[in-house]
Amino acid sequence: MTNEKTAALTIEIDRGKCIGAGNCVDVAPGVFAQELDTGVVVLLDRAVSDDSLSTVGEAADLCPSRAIALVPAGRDTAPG
Amino acid sequence: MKCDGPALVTSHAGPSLDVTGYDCTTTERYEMTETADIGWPLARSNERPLDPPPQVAELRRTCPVVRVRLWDDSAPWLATRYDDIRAVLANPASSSDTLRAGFPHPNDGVRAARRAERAFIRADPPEHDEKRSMFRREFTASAVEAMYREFTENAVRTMLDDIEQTGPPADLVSALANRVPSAVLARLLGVPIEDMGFFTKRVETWMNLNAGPDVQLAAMAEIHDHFADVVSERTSLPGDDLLSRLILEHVNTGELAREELIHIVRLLIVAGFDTTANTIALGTLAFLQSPDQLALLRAQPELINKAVEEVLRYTSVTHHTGYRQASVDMEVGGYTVKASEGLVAPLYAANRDPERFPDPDRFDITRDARGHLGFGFGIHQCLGQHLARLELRIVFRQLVERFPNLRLAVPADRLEFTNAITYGLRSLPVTWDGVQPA
Repeated sequence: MTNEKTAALTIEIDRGKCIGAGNCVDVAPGVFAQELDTGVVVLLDRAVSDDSLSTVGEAADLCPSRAIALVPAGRDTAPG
Repeated sequence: MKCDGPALVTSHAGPSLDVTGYDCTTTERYEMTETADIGWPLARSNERPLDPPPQVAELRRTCPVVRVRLWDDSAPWLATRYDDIRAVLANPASSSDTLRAGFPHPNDGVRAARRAERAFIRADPPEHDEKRSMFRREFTASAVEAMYREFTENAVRTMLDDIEQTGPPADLVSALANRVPSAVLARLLGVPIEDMGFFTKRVETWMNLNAGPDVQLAAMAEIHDHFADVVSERTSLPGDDLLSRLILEHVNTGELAREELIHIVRLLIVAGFDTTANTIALGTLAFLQSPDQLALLRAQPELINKAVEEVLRYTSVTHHTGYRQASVDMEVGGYTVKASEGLVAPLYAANRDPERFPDPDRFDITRDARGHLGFGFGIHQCLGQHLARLELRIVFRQLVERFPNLRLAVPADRLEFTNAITYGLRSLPVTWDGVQPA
């Protein structure tokens, strides 16, 4: 059985909501970064893998301004 | 839980508050709680001064969202569960604008101070976002690491040298807890360390709820006047510091009024000094009261990051924060809060919720305390949290390494806690023996 849960998720960020608290960078530094000039979040990798699910999920949970969401991937990328 | 007894009348400091018979689950709840008389804030117990007031746990079990009575007879909604507190703080309908009519405050001293603070911490979007964004890059984890790590490590080492040479005993509030953030702030603002005594003395008065609103406001005004002069100096002669950068990039371009910069910098002083100083003091006390945890951190210094999150969760020094006002009708824990009603979402209540942190009153540096609300939640979450973490990690790591036998020099029940906007200790007398070579 394939892991439908992770295969079906990608990360979405809302830069307008970001307050630059930087918790996401703390827990998932390979996935999120902060722009040097503004401190606003930058997404380095949209994909959620089995390995990254727990840290990415934690980043979304810790985000105080609710700027990170894990959303179902588009139908074309979802497993058959 | 179905409550069936009558509502109990309680006093503000009533240690005997029994809320088990308090009716908070019936459909009449709203009406009942409108006239309820649970005074807030409640007093902490003398036996466990690092814990929230003991009735908070009982309220969380029986009436997790309930109206309470404040000093001015207003009756905001109090939330005591982690999920509800987090939701209140993250809700865009929760206003932080302290100038709104009916905004709730825990007492008249906090009310005076927070109405006089005209900085983005007391503003809602879009104004809040516009102003906070000017400060973000100064406080990212990588920026504070690059700008302050080496400086702070050296500063703390020197302070511990002093303590070692002049003691035992020592007062860790004056010799360490107050000195660390003072040194970092002097660096951050580019002011001489000798000037910091001026600020910290006035911050103490500003925070002191025994002083009275007029005295508190006078101390705030003195800091304001001093910064007005500093801002003038930096405008004509910029240096390599945060203040100069803000003047060059935001004041000179017309985005930020000079007067507002002064308000914001004054807030940085209190947010950067008072919170960190008290967390160092109360965190040290937590370690001294759990010597096994102190020994564990000494044996496994790699636990330092976890330990600091636990210190932040356990101490929750900003015990008079989390006050908001509903700007429109909103829902909290299944109840409707109407527009203009007050909200109280205490960080210490969230941080001791057993649903989120099992055995919450136990200080345990091995637990996963991440997700604690020690820095708040929502758009106002602490701007300087990475700087605070950096300072706390350096302080506790060096302290346990240098003073393995650190212990209280007085009985715990003789320690004096402050009646202040931020919770803390008047002094922390410690002693030690068998100091390891540096």
